[in-house]
Amino acid sequence: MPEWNKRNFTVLSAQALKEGWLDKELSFVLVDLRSEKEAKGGHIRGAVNLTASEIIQALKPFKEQKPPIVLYDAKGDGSAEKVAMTLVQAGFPGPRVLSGGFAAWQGAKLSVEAGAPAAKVAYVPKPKAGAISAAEFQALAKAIPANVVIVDVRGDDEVDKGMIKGAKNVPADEVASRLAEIPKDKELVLHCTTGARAEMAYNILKEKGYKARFLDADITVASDGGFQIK
Amino acid sequence: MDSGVMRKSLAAVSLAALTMTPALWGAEQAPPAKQKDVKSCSVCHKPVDGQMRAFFDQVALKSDSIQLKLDNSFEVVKFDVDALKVINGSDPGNVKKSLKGIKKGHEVRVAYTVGSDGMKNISEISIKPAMKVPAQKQVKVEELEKLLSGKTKYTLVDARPPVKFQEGSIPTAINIPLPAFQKNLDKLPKDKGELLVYFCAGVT
Repeated sequence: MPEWNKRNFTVLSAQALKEGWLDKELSFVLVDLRSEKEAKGGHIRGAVNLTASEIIQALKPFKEQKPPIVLYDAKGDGSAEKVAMTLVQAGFPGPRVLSGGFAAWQGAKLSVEAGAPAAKVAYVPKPKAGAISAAEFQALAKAIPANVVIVDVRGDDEVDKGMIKGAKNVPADEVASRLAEIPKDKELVLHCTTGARAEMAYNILKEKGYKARFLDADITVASDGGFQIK
Repeated sequence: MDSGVMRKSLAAVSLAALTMTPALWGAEQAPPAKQKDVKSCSVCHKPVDGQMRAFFDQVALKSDSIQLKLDNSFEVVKFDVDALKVINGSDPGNVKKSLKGIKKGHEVRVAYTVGSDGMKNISEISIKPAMKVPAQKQVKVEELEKLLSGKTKYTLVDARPPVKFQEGSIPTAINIPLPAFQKNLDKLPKDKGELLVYFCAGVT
């Protein structure tokens, strides 16, 4: 399958698009390749209306994030497949094509969104379960509320070089044996240096019934307690 | 689809090869209640006390911990870098490099004991090797592309779980997930001489 996707597209049915993507609220780019007029007359929820000639340019800013792409044309006449192959060649591996196009979607009697679809691609990768945004972390760290505890799960040698003011240090590999020191009635916000250990600590604490979130980002802490998130 | 796994892509196995391994299909019943292995592993493997089969997620060398992915959750296990035995590692003799070399989502089996803090301490991690499909029974992606656009009769079977099939599959493929294989023999072509091509997320 990975090898196939490097040089080809895949297909899915209308039912699969609904159940496997839309119902799960997954993050992906759904492209309506029909004319503006047709798309205005009814489209699939969340679709962005792009023409074959503008699609690569429109998706370029998102290339690094490797968004899943699902394309549909009017009635599955092969035009979406053609666009899919140009995407593959432009470095977007494994785009998906809705078999039978919009006609198949209607044929399956699935709900159609009225009005004009989006004209610009919007794609935000779904954050990991339990992750806190960098912005919220920053705001909390600036003035830690009484019900929040920032837990620095780095090792002793790293913490010696600086810690966020007011944070509590429990190294990730000691979390399970030092549960008694971690307040269960507070909201915990965990960080390390990359997010890896913080995520592991989050999973250990969640399992034990703690309220926790973690910073899934690179962070460096200076000796004065100041920090930078990348 | 398997998060950029670089293993050889296409598991193509003839029907004969599949039916010759009846042991594979024996364990179709519901898993025991306290089953720790992930579902896809329990199709072929019975759970063993002190062992767990799961997907590798990530390793943190700074805290000697590995995060494993189960069907609906994660589990963090600890290891001792000087004592851990890595089976099928990419760098024999180098535990750290071998652990770093495990791809996210790859199937692993760990042997563990539970420590006083309730955490599993693993003494061994075995990385699932690729299934050996004889070269003459393999189909290259190029050949499959030709098959799809050509006139030869064939049936293409996606052996992955329905969820993966729904996310998108190779054109003309039908979905017969491996665990339900025997119940779906009627979906295969009546003509046993017809070319059957199987694929999944990678050779496993």
